Amino acid sequence: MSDALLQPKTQRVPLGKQDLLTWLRIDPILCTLLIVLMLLSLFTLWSAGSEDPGLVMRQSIRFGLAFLVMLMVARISHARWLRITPWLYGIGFVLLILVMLMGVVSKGAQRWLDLGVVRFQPSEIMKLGVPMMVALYLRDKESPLRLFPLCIACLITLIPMLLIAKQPDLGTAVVVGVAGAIVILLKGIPKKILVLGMLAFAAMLPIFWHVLHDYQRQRILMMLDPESDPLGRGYHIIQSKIAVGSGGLWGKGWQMGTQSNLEFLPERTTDFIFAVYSEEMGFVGAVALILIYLGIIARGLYMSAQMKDEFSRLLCGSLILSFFVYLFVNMGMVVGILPVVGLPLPFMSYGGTSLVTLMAGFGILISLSYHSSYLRKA
Amino acid sequence: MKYKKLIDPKQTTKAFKKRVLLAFVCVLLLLGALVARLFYLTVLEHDKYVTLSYNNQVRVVAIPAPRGLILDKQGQVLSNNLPTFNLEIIKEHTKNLKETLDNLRKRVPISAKEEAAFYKELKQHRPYDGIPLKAHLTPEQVALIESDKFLLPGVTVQSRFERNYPHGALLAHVIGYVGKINEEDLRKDESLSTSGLQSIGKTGLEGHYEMALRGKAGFQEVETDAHGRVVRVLSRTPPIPGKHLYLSIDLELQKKVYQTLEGHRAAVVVMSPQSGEVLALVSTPSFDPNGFARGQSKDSYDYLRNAPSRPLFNRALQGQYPPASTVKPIVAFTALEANTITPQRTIYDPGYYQLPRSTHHYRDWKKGGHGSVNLEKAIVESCDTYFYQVAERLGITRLSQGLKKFGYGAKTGIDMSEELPGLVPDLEWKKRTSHQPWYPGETIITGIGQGYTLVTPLQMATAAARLANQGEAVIPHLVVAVEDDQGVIAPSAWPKAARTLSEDPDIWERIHEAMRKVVHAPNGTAYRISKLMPDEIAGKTGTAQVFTVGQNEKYEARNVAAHLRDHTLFIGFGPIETPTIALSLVVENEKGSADLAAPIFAYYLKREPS
Repeated sequence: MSDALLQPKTQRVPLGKQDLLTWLRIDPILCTLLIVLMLLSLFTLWSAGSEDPGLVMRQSIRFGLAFLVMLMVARISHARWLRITPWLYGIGFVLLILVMLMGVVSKGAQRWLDLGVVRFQPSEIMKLGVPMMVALYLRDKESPLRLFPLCIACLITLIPMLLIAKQPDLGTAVVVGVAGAIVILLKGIPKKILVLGMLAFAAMLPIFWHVLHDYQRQRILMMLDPESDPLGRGYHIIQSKIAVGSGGLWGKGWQMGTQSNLEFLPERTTDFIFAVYSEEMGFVGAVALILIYLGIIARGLYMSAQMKDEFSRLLCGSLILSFFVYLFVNMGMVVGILPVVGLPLPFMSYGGTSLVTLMAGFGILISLSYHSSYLRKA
Repeated sequence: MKYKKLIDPKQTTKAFKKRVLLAFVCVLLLLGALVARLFYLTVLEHDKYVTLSYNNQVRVVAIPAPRGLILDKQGQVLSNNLPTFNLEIIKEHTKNLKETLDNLRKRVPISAKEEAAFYKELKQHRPYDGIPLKAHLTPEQVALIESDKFLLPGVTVQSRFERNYPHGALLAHVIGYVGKINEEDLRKDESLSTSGLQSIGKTGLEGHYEMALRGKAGFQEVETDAHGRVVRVLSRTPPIPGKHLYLSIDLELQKKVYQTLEGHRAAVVVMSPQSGEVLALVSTPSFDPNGFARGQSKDSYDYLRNAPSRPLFNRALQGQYPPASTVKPIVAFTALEANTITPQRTIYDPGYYQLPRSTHHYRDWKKGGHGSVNLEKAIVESCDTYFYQVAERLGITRLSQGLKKFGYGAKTGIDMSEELPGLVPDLEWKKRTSHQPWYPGETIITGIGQGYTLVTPLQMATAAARLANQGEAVIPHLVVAVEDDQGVIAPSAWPKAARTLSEDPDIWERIHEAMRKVVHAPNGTAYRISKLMPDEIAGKTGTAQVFTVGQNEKYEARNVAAHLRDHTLFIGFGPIETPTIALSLVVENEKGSADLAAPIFAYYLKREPS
């Protein structure tokens, strides 16, 4: 275990360039890609938000703050993560119940907790809390999983997920469920159970359909046939497809997108920002954006694969794959292959809450990657 | 303690890496699907979405063409377009709608009705649409609003062209009026909804010449945003202005006729017998067409519609009356042309006529009769008995053919859409409409213009023109020239109608002489107006029964309800040598048609001495 690259802490005192970055907990590849994404986001927001300097300024500040959050989270030690996890999960759980009892209703859903100064969505905590808790629980279990620990892991995931779905916030519920499920899948499930589980899931679909709210069912139907209600529920999908399709190979050019500038496209700065981007940057720009995301995912998965302890890699693998799920669900919605779910495009959409959670997730990734080297050395 | 299986860290690390790799492959596949979908939308279906995106943003907005003017021959304006100023409010631009309205009220009176209509409209429009609040601002009000604009955010004064009729009621039944486009108009012509027009010609020349007056709307291609707000203008096709109409109407004569008829329910048509140009066309009572162009209240419209004197009814074109004795010169001509009578032949009139094997007395208007009567005396004194006999000899077929040759029973072809054809009965008509045989008695009364026969004042004037012209037929018309948007004036072509009447000057001479004596011989029925005439004219009076008097009763106007009293009629032309005007006149439920016609003739003949 005497890898030359893994130098003891005392030897890193002379401040070389590489060492400063390490000390700051900055992963150069990851951070470069993230910064490129944020810049693209600001340019797109300038166009989508009708050249509102305030909007771009606010988002810049959020990016800055989120970056700080990432760097701060990245400083938390591995041992502390193990200790924090049950608390985070527990607090998130209590808050979810509080939301159910006394949350603020906004846009017909009870998701927010008013803390006087800030409104706060406890379901955001669970985006991290659930995979952390599942990873903590599964870290010393045998792989592939036996039935009992599998059931416990499923419960850890499902209970908060159902609480969030009840709010109703289907998007976040799915994301939380997916984060937990990915941890379980990364841990490994016996093939028999995997097949059975998939069959059971297929069998559950009709029941799931029945439980859905009316508007949620409509969204799924609309994805299949948006033209059946072009000015109503199908409007989002139709206008979004028009924006993407009319962009063509090279796009209409920055700030030249008519669908967004003339306000045909709804929720231009948030959920449908990818449509604005595609309209103006075209197929080539969209593929470039996808490649940047792919770079982040590849880097994240690589970092996870390098980790030596089970908790770290399960959690990080889950976080980075969840990140993929966010962007895939959002982009899939914009191009009309997935139903309209209120999920923002990570790092591109305007907004703060999910950005902070996201960057905290990347902070965890960096932190655990950093501390994994010590574990290896020890 | 249970046995716990040893976990080999190297084994699990390897297994984890395998799973991560598998996950990465899934990521690649899914992103590949996304890229494929993007390629499908942006490249393969690109054209479809470009079109959809273009259609989203570009709208075509019509620019209405200025409506053509209506002028008289001298170029005096009879109908034009005046700018009117309307108050509109754009809600989006007001800071506080209530405050703006309060500020506005201090400058311009706003009725509760206007405000209610405004709020109703407001609900149906988008916040950036201008909603009309008050129409027809005075110049003072416009100035007040414009000068205090900063206090009235969102308030705009819109100027729009509105049809104007400077002569008002004088020409209402000639020019007609424009009115707001209604649902029926839209059903007939769907393109109206996108034409940008607010009103179209409804009646009279405005209606008949609608297409020429309207011109061709221009178009503006504008880019709009998702809310329909216009962002910029992409292209503009200017409208082609409507054509101007020049009318044959003699404005001074029209005024004289109108003044003469005011207070009566009457109609007069004056035309030039040579050309068919209509010099005056009046139906009284009339109405102010500006009310229709500007949009009048429901009350005033209901009044016009329901008034017993029917001011909206165009008596000159749509009033169908029995021609009564005015038909006698025509019947006389028909009989002479058919050789059923000779001018010299006399009959004895005991005051009634009896068909063989009948006890029914067809009474003459003169109790005791006219004694010995020849053709001329029969016309001059309007002897009914003589014409009963002539009618019987001619029979209904020849009689109705004779009437039709003078234009009765068919539309004259004037350039007005409302014209009605009247009615000339014959055997076939009777069979078709009532499934009953023709009775001989019906022929008898047709000979004096009673019974089924109905004519319009316009037809009477046309017949008078044929009498004046010795059978030359002209088509009455109002528009003599049309000026297009390039300023080129094209005279309207009005071909003469085919001649159907005999040219025998001997017959015409006798008819003219008899009609001259109606006015100028002491025994003529219109002799009392003779002294008013600066020149000799020809004429014929008539009295049409509205109410049938019993066999042994005598008609007394004062015993009969006002609306059942006889109509009186007059046709005439003059001067007798070279006629320059032909005239018809009907006055409803009143005596004295000749007395009303006299000042018109006198005015015209004095002004245009032969």
